Amino acid sequence: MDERELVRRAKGGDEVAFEALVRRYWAKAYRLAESLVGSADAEDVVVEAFAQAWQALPRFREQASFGTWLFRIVLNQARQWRRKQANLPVEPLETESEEGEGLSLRDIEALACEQDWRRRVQQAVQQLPEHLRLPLVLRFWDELSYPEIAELLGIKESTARMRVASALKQLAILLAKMGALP
Amino acid sequence: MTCRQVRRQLLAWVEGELDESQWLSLVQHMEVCELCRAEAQRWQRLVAVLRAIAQSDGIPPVPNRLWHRLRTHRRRLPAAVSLFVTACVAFFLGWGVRGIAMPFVPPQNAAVAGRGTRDEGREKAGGQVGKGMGVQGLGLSLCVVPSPSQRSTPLRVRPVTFAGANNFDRSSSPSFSHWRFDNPLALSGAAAMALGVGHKRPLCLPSLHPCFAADLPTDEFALDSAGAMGQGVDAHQVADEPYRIFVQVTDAQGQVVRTVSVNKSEPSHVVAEWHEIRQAKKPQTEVSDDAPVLAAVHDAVPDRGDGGGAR
Repeated sequence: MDERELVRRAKGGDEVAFEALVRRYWAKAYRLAESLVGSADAEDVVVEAFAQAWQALPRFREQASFGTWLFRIVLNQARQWRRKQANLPVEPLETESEEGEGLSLRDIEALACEQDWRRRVQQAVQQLPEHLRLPLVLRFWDELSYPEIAELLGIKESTARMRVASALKQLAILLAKMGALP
Repeated sequence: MTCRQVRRQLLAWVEGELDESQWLSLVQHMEVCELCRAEAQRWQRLVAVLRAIAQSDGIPPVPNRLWHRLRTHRRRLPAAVSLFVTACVAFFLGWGVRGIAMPFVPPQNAAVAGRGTRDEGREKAGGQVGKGMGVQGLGLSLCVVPSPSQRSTPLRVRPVTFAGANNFDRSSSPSFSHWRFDNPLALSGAAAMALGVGHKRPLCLPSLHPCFAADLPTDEFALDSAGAMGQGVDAHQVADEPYRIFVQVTDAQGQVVRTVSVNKSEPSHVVAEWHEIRQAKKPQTEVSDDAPVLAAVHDAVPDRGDGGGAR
């Protein structure tokens, strides 16, 4: 179904239409949240953002696309989350993982290899300063256009382009340092 | 095209945003410049990797708690809509209550309109007065306009007396004349109580004030024996002492239907009320026409300890 129709129905209280929008944007919202708060908290942030979006949807005036509007909520939620976390005592990270259970040795090696380069690129992205990281994530993970990124971040389109270019340049340098240059 | 210009356009190149002429000049430069070509290829791979990550399945599925949350936290109405709905409900509720209290709109010269409350066991919706009737009057000479079925028997309210003592004889004619009354609201409230105008919600003075004050021209006025209102002429009889107001409801023939006594300071508080049960008139030789015919007297309210009752 057309996204506008889904949004129109969801605004009218149609939960099924909103579920379709959630499924459509879940991965992108998750990537955005992950780039800001890390994978441990990304899910919580996105759940909160979608719950907020559901409540606020009747006030959505459709001047921007639903995606841009939603990502703004995710951004705000992630920033709020980080502020909260900054006030909490730091807990040690869990090291054990149940991932890989039931896989053969070859599968585990392949998974490890794939996960390794993915993890390295993600790590490198995380190391970018936020003003460069956000445009990069929004462009390549959330697939927003440059005008949409500019609107979401409140910057000029040319600035958005410049920041993405700078982010790519710095990312290449970081990956080269990590020995993981593609 | 210089290397610097090429580096500036690398992003547009990997994004496929260059027009044909720009793309051609960039490619021509990269054919001869190894550094720029390497840099362009690096960017190309990097973007491909980033997009691959976006497409990869490293994303957890939508958790059930989100679905649960969406279903349990049903959307609230927007504030403006909520306000509008609340206002509508309040309006119709108020209309309904008003409909019970004032079944029809009283005329402009209405002196009393209101509702009162009764203590338990005191509700006797007396005789011909009660629900379905409105109140109209001139000054304090109040006239109850009955419901259509009762139009043939209009009722009147007359303030009988107000006194600190409880020596009011209900069987006697109103005897006072030109008493200055310092609390017209109380008298109006007493009249309303006597009429039984509304008794389903408490009557309180602040809410009573705008209803009962509207048609009273002054805070001080006197009553003559006929119950008509005049400007104050006599001295205040009871000064600052607490006193009761006795109000009688009479029918068109002047027969007393009900007598109500209220506190001056608390007109919604009926101290006592009597429902006069009328009997067939006895021969004129025995009872004067002028005096109300009282066959039975019922003190419906136990005395509140403020001393005595009517005789």
